[in-house]
Amino acid sequence: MSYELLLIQKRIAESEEQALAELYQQFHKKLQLFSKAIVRNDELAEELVEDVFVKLWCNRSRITEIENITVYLYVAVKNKSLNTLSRKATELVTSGFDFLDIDVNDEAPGPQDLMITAEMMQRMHKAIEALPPRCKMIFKLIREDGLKYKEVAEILNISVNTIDAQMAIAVKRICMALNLNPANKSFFIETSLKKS
Amino acid sequence: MESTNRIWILMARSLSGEISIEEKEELLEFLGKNVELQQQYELMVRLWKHEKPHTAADEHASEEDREHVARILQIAKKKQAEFQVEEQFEGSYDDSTREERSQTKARRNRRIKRYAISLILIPIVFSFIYFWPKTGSTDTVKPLTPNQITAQKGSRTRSILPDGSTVWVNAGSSISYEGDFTGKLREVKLEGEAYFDVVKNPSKPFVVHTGGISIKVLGTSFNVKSYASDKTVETTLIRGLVQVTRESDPKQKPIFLHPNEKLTLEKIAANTDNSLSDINPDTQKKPGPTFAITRLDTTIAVTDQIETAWLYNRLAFRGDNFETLAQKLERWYNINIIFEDEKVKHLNFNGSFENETVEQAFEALKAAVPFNFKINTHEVSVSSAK
Repeated sequence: MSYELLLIQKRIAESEEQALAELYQQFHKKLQLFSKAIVRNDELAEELVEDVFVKLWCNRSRITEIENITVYLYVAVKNKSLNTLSRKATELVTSGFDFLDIDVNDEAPGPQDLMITAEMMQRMHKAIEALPPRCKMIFKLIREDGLKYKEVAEILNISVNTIDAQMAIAVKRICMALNLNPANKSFFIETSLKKS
Repeated sequence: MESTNRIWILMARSLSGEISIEEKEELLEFLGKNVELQQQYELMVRLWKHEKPHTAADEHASEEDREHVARILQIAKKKQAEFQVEEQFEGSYDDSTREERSQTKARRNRRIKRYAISLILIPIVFSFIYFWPKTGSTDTVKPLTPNQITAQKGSRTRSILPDGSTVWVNAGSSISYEGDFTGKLREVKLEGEAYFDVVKNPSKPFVVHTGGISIKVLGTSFNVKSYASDKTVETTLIRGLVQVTRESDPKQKPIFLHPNEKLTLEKIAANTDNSLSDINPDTQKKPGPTFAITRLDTTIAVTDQIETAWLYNRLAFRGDNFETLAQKLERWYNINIIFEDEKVKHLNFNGSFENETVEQAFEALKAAVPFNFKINTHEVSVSSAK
């Protein structure tokens, strides 16, 4: 667990408002996207994330008891979002994010990375978009939010093995999509043949 | 098949930073055997690091973010206001900055304090429940004489309690207490409505038991309305601080009241009638009886406050329907009101009476909202206007 976050937790426990601002700064965008994937509404997602931070601040005397604040925040946002969709909640929990439409945050490539062509970027983006929902969510949380397998497993309430498998599928599919040189396809054909 | 799947798992792990040293070697070995795959992997590594949406540029707090944080803190503060009353009870009444700083410490203490309060309250409540009904018939160690102050319907009475506290008892109400408050507490049982001006004595809290709740104070002025016919128990605080606990569930968090606040507690949940056998299992199961705290309008004079007007020989009412008002009038004038039809019960009234006779009062009501009435000594029959 990151030492920096533990330090922020400690400062929040000491009622330092700046520490809360830093934590909010670090997480709110990711959490908002995560919430939006569930509630499908920008304003609502923003509100839910705020609620989570309000609760965190209200209970700050016990914030140091939280082992992994990252997981805590994601789980809190997940629960709040699911509760908000109270009608749909049971449906969502049981089917484990498998029918959600998840927005993956892909921004336009910057000039600093001319090595990567716009076409490749687009291909990758398309490949990510085409992933099955749960796979996409897992991929997004790991690549964009920089979470660990274990953390994502905890947040989404699935096993690390599932993460492993889903990530492998994601990477494989993206590689296939990026495979510009037709000659390279042989490898994929080979593997898919072996599979069947 | 296993080995090819393994490659993707290893690649994914490597990109995600989840790979172990051994696995990394295994991956490199795979990649060494397949140049195309190695190119793919290298491209993936670059793409992976490429557009991370939350990079350093985002780390700078925007004005918007600052506003969000400010709002979060504000909402949190509002939510905590309720809790902070406990700290104010300790004396840091207006010192908000100190309160802020002492919050963490106070929080730590709070759990202990809450525990202590319930530890104190449980025996109080239970001993009360046990001893109260018995003292009339059986002898306890100390022979205590039950005292009662009663105000008949149509009259109000003021009395001084043994500790020097003043109590006003409203029409059709009574208070009773044991001996001369020689115990650790000054305990009073109320039926109906009374206003207490309690002499400060921190070592001997003053407790009012009524309608299934106990109101604990150190030294304050407050009004309690708990007529048997009322559906709610109302506690209004004029000054000081009171702590209201439901006797059916002493472990539940007490409610604190601030000056010029009125607590309205539903009786269904609070009413246990001070005897264990009477506790309705249904009400016990109820997690939290519904209550509401409202602020009094402090811009109007004390004599005009509905809750305290009766102390100044005024009967004040606002937005009451006739049925509710009738109960007040019955007690105030010692009359009986008979409704001749349902419709008339639902008329609403605002106003106050001071020196009016029964007839003048009804004439005034009639002038505001038309209806018919007939006075027959102590009985008034009311019907809808034709």
